[in-house]
Amino acid sequence: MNRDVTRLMEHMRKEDGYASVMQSLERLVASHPELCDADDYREQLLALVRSSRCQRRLQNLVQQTVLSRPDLLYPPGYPLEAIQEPLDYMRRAQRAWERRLYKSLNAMSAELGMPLARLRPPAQQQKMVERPEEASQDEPVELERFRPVYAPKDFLEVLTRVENPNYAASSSDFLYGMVRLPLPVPDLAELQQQFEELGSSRLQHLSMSADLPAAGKPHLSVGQYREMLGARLLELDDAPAAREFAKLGVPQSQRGELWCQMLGVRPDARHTAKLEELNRAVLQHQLLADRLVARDVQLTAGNDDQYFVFSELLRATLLRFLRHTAPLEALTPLPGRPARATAAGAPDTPLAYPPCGVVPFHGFSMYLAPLCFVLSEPTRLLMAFERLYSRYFVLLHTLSSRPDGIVSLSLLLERLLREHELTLWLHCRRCRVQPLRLVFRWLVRAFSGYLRVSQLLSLWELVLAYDSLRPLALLAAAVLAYRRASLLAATSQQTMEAVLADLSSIRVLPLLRAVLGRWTA
Amino acid sequence: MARLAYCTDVDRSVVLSSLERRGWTAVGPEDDWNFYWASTNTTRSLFSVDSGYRMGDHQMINHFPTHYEITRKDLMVKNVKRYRKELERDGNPLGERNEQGRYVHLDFIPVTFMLPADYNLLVEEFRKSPNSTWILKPAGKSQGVGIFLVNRLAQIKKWSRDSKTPFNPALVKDTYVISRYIDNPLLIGGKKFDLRIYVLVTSFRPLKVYLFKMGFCRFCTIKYDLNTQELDNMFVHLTNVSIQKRGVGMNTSVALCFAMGVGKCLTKHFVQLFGLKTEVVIQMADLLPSIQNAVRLTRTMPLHISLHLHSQAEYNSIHGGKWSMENLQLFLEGTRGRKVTDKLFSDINWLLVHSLKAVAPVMVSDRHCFECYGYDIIVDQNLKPWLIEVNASPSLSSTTANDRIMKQALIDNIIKVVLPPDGIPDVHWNKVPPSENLTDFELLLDEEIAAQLENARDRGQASNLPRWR
Repeated sequence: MNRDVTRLMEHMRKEDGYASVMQSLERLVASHPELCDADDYREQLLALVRSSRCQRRLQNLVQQTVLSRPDLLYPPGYPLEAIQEPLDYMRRAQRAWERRLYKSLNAMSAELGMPLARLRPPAQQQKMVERPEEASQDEPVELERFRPVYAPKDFLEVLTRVENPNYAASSSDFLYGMVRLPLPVPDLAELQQQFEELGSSRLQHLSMSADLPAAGKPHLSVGQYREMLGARLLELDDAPAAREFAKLGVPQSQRGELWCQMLGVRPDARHTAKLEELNRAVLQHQLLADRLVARDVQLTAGNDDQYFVFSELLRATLLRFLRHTAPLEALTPLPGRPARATAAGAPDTPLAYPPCGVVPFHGFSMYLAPLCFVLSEPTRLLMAFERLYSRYFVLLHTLSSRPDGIVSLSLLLERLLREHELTLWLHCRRCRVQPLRLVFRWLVRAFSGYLRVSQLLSLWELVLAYDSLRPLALLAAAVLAYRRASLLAATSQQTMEAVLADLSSIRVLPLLRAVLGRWTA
Repeated sequence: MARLAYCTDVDRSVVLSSLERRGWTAVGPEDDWNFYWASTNTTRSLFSVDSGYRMGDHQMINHFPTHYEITRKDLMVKNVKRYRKELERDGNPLGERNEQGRYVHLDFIPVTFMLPADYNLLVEEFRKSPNSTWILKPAGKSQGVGIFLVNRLAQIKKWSRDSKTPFNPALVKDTYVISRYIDNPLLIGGKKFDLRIYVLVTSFRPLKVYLFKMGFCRFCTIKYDLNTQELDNMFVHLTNVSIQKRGVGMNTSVALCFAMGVGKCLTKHFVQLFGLKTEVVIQMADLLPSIQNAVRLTRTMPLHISLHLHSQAEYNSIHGGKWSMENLQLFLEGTRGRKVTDKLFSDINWLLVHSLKAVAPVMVSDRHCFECYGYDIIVDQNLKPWLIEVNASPSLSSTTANDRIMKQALIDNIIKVVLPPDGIPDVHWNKVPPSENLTDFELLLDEEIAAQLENARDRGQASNLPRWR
């Protein structure tokens, strides 16, 4: 027991909020000098801490540490590889995928004659400082030569080819689906338990009932009541409480703050200094990955009628993100292993490339774009994005056996359809269309760019509140169930894709409630 | 649905499709039309005394005869100033002024003066704020022709001296309007934008105003100037200009700016001469016809011409630089908070209503008329809206798919609101559309209904009429 606590403390010390929590504890003790002489020093100290605000802050810190370091749940000395990914075959598949990516990156670098990274000539640096808006337009011709490293459909192909050597794939369970792996997947009853508030129609969710009178306080509307509660929560600064609150919807004006609380984003002077450092790094070095990011922003967010306004901001933030090594540390417990490159002058010290450990792919900027609607300050935007990415979105494009990983989500989707939308499932089978193929890109992008912004923010809020990516699979299955009639009338992949092309009229909460209600009835 | 006869001299598919969809038949202006979607020129001639045209009880036209009272910059400013002074004189709290002399509740137009009439007032204002920038526009023109920025009084003085027409208010044909330039606009994603809001007015006395919910923000796409070449005398010098197209996706156009020795020069009137694909040599002789045309329009002789090459990022056909009001509201609520966002939107509604109230007394409120105005509004960094301009014929061409859908909904909805329930224009109808016909329009103010409610309340009676917002 003590060993675990020591390990926890070790990791906690590295966490962001540690210093300030320790400071406030010290201040608390210093303001109660009578404690030093007490006989039952320990009990009194504990009672003091429990009765003060420090208790909550300490709780937040511990929860944050545990959530971001799942290896703490394992005994010490457990091989890191096994923690990252206990299943052998999955690990091998992910490595193979990574090798393919890095080869492709190298090939692109050779083909275009651009090094993976190089120093920027001072003249160009000067130009970037003086005329930043021009700098973003530099060499637009070149951007066209950059192909995105991969797209969701490539990833889907890789995913479906993963095989468990100990499992005979001809078993009847998975005969009809694309993913043939025996990973545990919850059934509807378990989902109902986990997402209790989603299915319960008597609980008022903000996005559905904003103007209705609040239950228990009929003189206020639900919107006003939630704002009042939200304001009180903001003062409390209690992450678990914020999560409970978020399950029923956070008012848009409080989202920035509450999401930061849930993600543990508390910028202080250190972070602002770090931001300056990153800005300098952007000026000094030019990465091949910069072009990939610029190309991605141009193709995806830049062409989206909801996010095009933020193109410059997205580009700037992602350039900083690429050079920040903190995400790399956060990603260590995860199965992905970043590419290693060696600098020309130092062949013995491999560094991660890109420094953040992530190779941007087609649609990567869409993970960041919706955040621009709730956060505008650059430090908080960057920090929130890093946490959101390293805790959730990275699982959407790496192969792992995690219950929140894309493999499990795909299996969950297929199971839900098979068990609750049998007619549709069989129809797809007859037409030789795989439902997973129709919705895969929604899952990989976490629906960003497919839903209206207000609805997307509600969906991501559910992900944060329940600390799980399963709502994505639920929503995908719900959309298919909702458009069942049109899908049953379609007979080819193309027609079905056309039916599912436009999600702008989808309202997340009413749809989830309606479909879950229908399935459980 | 009644089958009406319509007439239109606006060749826009969004208009034609809405009219055709209802099974209406197209007729000429001389025939017995019920519904006329006209241009402002046609309206003017129709209502002019010489035409002798008398509209029947079952005819409807989409402009008011005196619309210029709100669309001409000088008349709009004049009407707003008069409105404010009257309220102040009557002791109405709306006309309250603060210590700096600014109107507390009706400060929605930037400080504006008419030239040459208010020249002395301008000088005084200039002395009070010497670092200000002002924008000079001809009163009657549209599309940004002949607009200049000035920031030194000397520039105005020189202009007034050099101008060919005498500085006599009675003789000057073109009034100029000079207003304070909004130099701290709200930026989103680092970009400037303005708001386009559609407002339908079915009557001025009593005032009936409807707001179209799908307004949008127009984001600036112009990136930067590339190059400037100055020519001293356009008629004498005939040199060739070599221009190279830069970058993929760049539409290089040539903008002709007329500098009359007045500071910086800004014009939105891009004379797109060539779609430049590669390097091209332009002969001065090719530019001459456009230059002569522009001179004719602005009726001024330039002192020198500068040739600006603008590189405009290619017009994106997916979003067209347009952002919905819904997204603006979401963004502002998320980053600035609910209270200030709600205040901005109610300030905008306030601006719309009072700008129309200001103009109502001088408008001919012909019962055959309705009009849809396009309001251009700029929001500054303190989230205060400023009225820049009102258009009586807002652009009905569409740049993107979403744009097209929105404009089609706009026209369709207008027709639903302005026609009586039986679908036949009737001059005797009380112009109170049933609420289900409003669809994407929101009633901002109906003075008739508001008055009825007041009376009912005075008499202590309950009423279930729609409320004034």
